[in-house]
Amino acid sequence: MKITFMGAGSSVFARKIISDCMLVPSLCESTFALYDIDPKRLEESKLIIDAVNKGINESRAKIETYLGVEKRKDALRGATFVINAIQVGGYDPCTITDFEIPKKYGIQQTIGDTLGIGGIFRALRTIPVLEEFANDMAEVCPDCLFLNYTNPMAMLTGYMLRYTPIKTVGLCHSVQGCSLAVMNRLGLEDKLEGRSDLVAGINHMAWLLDVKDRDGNDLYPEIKRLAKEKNLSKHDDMVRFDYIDKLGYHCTESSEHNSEYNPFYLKSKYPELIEKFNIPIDLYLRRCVSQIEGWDQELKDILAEKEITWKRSVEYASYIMEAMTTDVPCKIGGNVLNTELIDNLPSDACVEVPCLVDGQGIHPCRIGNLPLQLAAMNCSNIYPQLLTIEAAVTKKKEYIYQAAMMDPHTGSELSIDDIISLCDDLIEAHKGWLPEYH
Amino acid sequence: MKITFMGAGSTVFARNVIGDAMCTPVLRESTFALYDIDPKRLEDSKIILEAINRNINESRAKIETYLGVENRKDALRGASFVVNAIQVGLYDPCTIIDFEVPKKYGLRQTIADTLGIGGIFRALRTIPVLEDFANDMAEVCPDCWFLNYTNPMAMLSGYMQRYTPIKTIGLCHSVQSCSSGLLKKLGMEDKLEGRKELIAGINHMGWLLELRDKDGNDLYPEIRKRAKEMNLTKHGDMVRFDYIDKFGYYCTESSEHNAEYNKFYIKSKYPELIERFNIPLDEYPRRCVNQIEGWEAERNSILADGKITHERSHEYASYIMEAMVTNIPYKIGGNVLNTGLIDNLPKEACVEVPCLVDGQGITPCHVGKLPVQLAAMNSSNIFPQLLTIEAAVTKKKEYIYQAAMMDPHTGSELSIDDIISLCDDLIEAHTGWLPEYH
Repeated sequence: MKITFMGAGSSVFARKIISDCMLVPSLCESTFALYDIDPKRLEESKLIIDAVNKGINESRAKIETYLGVEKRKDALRGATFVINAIQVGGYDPCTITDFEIPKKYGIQQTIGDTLGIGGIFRALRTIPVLEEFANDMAEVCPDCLFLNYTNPMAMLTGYMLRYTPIKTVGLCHSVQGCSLAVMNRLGLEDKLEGRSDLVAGINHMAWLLDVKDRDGNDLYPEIKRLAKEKNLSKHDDMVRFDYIDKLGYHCTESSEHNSEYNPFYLKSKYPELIEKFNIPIDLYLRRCVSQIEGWDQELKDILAEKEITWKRSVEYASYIMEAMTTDVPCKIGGNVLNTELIDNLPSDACVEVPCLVDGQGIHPCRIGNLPLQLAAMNCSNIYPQLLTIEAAVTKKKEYIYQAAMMDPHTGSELSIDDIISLCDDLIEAHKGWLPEYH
Repeated sequence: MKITFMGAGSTVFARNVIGDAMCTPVLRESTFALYDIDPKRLEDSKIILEAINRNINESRAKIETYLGVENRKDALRGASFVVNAIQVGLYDPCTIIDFEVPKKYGLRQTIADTLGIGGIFRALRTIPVLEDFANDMAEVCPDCWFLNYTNPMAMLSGYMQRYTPIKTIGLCHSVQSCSSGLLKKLGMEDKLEGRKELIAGINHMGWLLELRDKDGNDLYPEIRKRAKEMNLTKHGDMVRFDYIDKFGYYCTESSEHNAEYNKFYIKSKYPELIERFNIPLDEYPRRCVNQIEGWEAERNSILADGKITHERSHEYASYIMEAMVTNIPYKIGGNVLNTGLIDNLPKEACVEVPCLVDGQGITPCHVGKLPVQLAAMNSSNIFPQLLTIEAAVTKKKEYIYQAAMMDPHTGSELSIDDIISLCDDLIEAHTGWLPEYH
């Protein structure tokens, strides 16, 4: 069996997913095709993954590298699973552009990879690359499953699901960590063991609809009380805890993410909210810089490990591939097209819901209606997502403008004229990374 | 046949609808039951309608008046049609409160009868009255059709359709005048005759999706060109013409209305937009004052020479009643529950779509998908509407807060704390007009 990894130069993440696979009997003898366009990073990943293969897998897996667009079809040929973790445009220049230009208009962002003006442009430069991947896959591995880890999750996965013939599921680790994080933070660790939860919505804003302890007791009354108390003093998850107070539910992604998914926290008219909710402006930029600066040392440390050990991570990819190859079912939170899964979200939306995985593939579970206020929050994110996909598919500038206008943060902060001018500036600044828009 | 008019003290409007019925052979011998809680206004209406009945209807109709809640059931008993045009709380004190309290928070409004903080509170004080009506109707005229003209249209009609057993249609005259108003403004009067159009969306934001001349030519390219040109200089419909430019489509309600249905035009951070788009802040209170001040004179002039007459207007009510009685089909733009009519709007939404009316009642037409940017605009209005209905039904304050948070204008202008405080102030100021919220 062949498993192809697109963007394998994401060394830490590639190591994680592939090491996970090496612990799975039905996957550990696979061929892993590593694809990237960066020779140095691809080579580093190969070194690391070869070492893991030797250290924990008796070198049973075959590791191949494919460098550059001209080798892409070979990387994909005959693959059963294709894992995607590319980042188009990198930190420098594209992420810097995504943060610095909006700043000139007074728009501050924290992460900029999911929604907002940054998320919109990240999708616009990534979708054309995914289109090429999809064309190649349709030719050389038409029956593969495409496991997308790249953000903006809903926009990219939604594009693949609606506009390509490739079977696709979007994956994130925020579902696994959702109830865990809130309970750890609130000192409810004793309720972790044996808990059950229901998480559904959209990626990064999927709602913890239900969480029960091992005896079936609803944990929300206690969570609500403790979260409200905790938000009286400063900590680093204040926005989500305010969600619990104002909307009644916890959600999957962190407070730094969720502070930019709505019109409520980053408001130039209320600058004191940044301090009050402890919102780390420009956090993603800082994370990128420290990752880049620390990488050489991290690489050295990884390669210096005498005895390589690996504990299977919570990432869904290896569990999905295992379930599909063994037909032993597993449950994931996956990003799929809203084929009557969540009744009060649009049918074109890419939603994050529990899915059953088995030898037949991925079967999303039906949820029904979300509580109204949660559907409202999700919808305010879904329309900018859909308009961004529309822009990428039609190459019409007006859809970029409309996506930014409908974005709750951008549209709330700026006038239409400023939004259009900001989009035009970003189109110009991303020249070479975007196709021609008209 | 009995036709009951709720809020018959709305003299001008009652005269239109009942005058229309007197111009319609199958309706003109009906009994018209006029209901109001204001004795003077009810008496005015009776005098005027009796004069019309004499002058144009050979006194064939029977006109009865029912004053006050204790006579309401008698007014409704046995009615085939109930026309609703009540205004709960009137200009003074409720409309004044709806405008003045938000102003303290820097929140400016133009009409405030449809959406926004004013629209939300107008619904909250009107729904309990409709609930009383519905209980009476279920008892004394369970098979009647309820023709609702009262705003906020989507919230009130949606409430009736979802939470009462009474057959309800919401009616507005903005659909009839949408394309004719537009063509006249743009100097395209020669295209009026024989034009064909499709309008769908939500009340006051129903979209002119298609407009063709008598030969089937698409009029939108010329409309777009002229509207853009016309918006270079100041006029009275600038916001809607900007919709044409930014979203590609014209909509049903006026620019003064649409200025407050989104986050783009009334922005404290961009005060110059008020001047630029010629937005008449506080327009509705001014209209109320003028109407109140002018009423005595208008009343006297109507009755002065005893020659009061009436020609059938374009209000849908008489045409609906006629079509149901004669079984001759008629087409209206009606506000109905979204039973799979507009695919990309929520199912609980009250949507405005073309409907067939005949002896079988009102059958809404399937529209399909709206262009995604228009669905985005409608959705941003629908969730506050649904949350307001939820508040009215559950009496939970948190839904009022959430409705205001999700309202595009309010949520964009104010912080959550200010929104909650504003809602609390309004609940307090409307004491006596609202049920107890907890």
